[in-house]
Amino acid sequence: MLLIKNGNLHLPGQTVRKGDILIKDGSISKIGNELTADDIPVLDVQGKEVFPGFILPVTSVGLTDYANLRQGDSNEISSPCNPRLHVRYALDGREVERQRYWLSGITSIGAAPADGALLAGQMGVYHVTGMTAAQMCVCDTVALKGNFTSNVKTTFGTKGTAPMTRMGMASSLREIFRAAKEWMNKEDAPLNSDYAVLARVLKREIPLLMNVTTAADISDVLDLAKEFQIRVILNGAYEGDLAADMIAKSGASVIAGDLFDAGARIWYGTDVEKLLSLGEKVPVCIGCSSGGVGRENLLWNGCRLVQMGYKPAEVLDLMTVRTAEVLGVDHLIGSIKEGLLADLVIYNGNPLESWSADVAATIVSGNIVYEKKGEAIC
Amino acid sequence: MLIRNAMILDMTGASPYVGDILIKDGKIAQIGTGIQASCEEEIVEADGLWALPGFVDAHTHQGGFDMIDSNGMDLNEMTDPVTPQVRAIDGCNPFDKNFRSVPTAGVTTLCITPGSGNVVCGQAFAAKSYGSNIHEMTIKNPCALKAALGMNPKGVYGPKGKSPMTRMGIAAELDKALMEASKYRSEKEKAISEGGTLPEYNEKWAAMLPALEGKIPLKIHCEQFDMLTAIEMAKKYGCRLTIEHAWSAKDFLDELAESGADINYGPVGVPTGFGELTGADLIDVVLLDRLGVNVSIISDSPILSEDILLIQAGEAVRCGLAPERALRMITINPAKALGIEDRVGSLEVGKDGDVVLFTALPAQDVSARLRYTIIEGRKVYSSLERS
Repeated sequence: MLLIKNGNLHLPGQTVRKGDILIKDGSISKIGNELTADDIPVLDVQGKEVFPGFILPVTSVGLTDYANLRQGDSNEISSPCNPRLHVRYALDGREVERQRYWLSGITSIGAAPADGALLAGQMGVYHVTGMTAAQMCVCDTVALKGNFTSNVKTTFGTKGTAPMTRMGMASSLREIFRAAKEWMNKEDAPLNSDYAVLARVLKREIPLLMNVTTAADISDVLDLAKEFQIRVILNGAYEGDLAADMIAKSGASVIAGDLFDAGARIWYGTDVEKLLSLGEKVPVCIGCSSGGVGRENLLWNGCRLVQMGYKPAEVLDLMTVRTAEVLGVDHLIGSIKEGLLADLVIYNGNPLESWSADVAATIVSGNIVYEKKGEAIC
Repeated sequence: MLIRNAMILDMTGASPYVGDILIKDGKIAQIGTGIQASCEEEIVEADGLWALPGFVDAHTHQGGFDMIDSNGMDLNEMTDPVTPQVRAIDGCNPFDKNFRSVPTAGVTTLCITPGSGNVVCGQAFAAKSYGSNIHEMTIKNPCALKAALGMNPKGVYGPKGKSPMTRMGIAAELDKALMEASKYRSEKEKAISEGGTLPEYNEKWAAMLPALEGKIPLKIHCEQFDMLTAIEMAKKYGCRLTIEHAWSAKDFLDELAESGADINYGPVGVPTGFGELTGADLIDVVLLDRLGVNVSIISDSPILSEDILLIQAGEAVRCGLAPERALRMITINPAKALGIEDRVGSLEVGKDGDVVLFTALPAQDVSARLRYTIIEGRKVYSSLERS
């Protein structure tokens, strides 16, 4: 139980001055003015900015085994298609906590297998504190992560094994989805842990989240999605501007970027405004390079959009509620709304307006996980 | 070119003031108020815009690290741990897409350095960020001799079973190279003063002479306690030193301040791990600045895009630095570290006409948008309003 008083609350579509939030059992139980409650701790934030916690949509940080300085547990490339794998068995809470994501306003991450395999495994959304996947869990399985990029060709093709080309990648995917479909429709089919996961995708219970780079990658993935009637999230999408009509027609969601901190945006000359304007038609949010980036990069991406002329409020949405929509967890996180988890970040100033804005406190599931020294707001 | 009515932050330590900047033949000819333009001058109306010196990035691999096409990886000659003779300028392609994007980030001067795959990596140079002929764009070549400690060289040679495999091996390789070059230098000097025969020309040791003679600094890639090794080596051989990356500098503040080395810090925005991957945090530049150390922020582009130079200056403000101090770290401080402060780094009469114009004060106001990048009196980038 916690009562946050006198915050400048960034609610969906509006900002409320001097608002209060009552937190019960880790969730937002009530939002209003001059709320009172007996015998519970009060956090008087004195006009500070209260945002929904930011969401880093796709990352392999937490799975990389940095302790041993090698890409330990994120990249199972023993074969190209491994839908049975699940990120929960590799997620290291200590590695996530070491990032101190709370200092940059991030309260949740989409933890995903890395970028080597065609079908890399299942990904989930997890909080940035906690030791075990169970403690960190927001939503255990949000998508099947795959990669339709040159990485896959490099990983397998250079060994002389399939897939070596984009044709090869598309054909491998068709083959395994067709087999899974057959398996699904057969009554006495033997157990198959790969097909069981693909069946969930085919039944549209979870989407296929695919790393894609070029418009041609996007075209191939959308064609596959159409054939098998599956839901798709396009991650990266550096040439999504060129494929904008195709994406809008398909209804696929988009995680755009890393828009600023990778060579790809400049190499592919991404028209960022055109790519993001897809958000009028399909769910779109911003992301960071799915490999390793620091805690700062998500907010930096947001700040670069503000530099380009985007309004801070629309950029905030691209880092919170839109992200939750894309990942299908908007019923749990992403907004300050009654019934959602109390994942909040309290800033001195608005970090999308002023560079001197810093985090006063971060709250995950109603627990204060960080409080700036000397702030004494509790 | 005449820039009229800008809010000028000249980075000389003066408070911002409204004024005009006249650039003639590529150099700043006059700064003041009410400067009259002659008819051939291009006028830039800068009412409401902030004018700063073009940004200087003291550590990049622009033009030599193609992040997409591996055929364009031209700044890491990893065939021998000691390659002082290779020159970054020979591996730099100014038509590379990332290089072409540099002016859009407000950066007008780049130090382009060999990568850190070898212990002695080669010669770095400083150049303007716009043009088609890298030699004409160059301000100073070489401007530093690049060396590297820590995980890069041992990651290249160790797995092949070659030296260096450890930090001990790296220190020994660097020491040996400096010793051989010093020997070569004294033999050469002796021959000249006593009229004897010159030692047989050695391209490696000859390339190290400018650093040994104090003409250019050793530019040493350091992580955590590597910086103490770098300080010891520079002291032993009487070399000037710039410490590159300097992650975890906060653990060695006294030693760094005492050494007199310049610190080229960053980039941050990398995951935090253990050991070498701990401590990329811009709080370090705040602490070093307080001790009077000449600190610059670096991008290491194009590993990250050039945009992050200014973004990191903003992040340093979040860590507690005043915006003006943070902006020094991407203008005059790196100009000093590179030994080119007579040309760039501040807006003063006689310096190059490299000016960036922003809609608000960058590193303070997130919405501050770059409107023009001007190099030697020529607009090389202008932004449009968001449609």
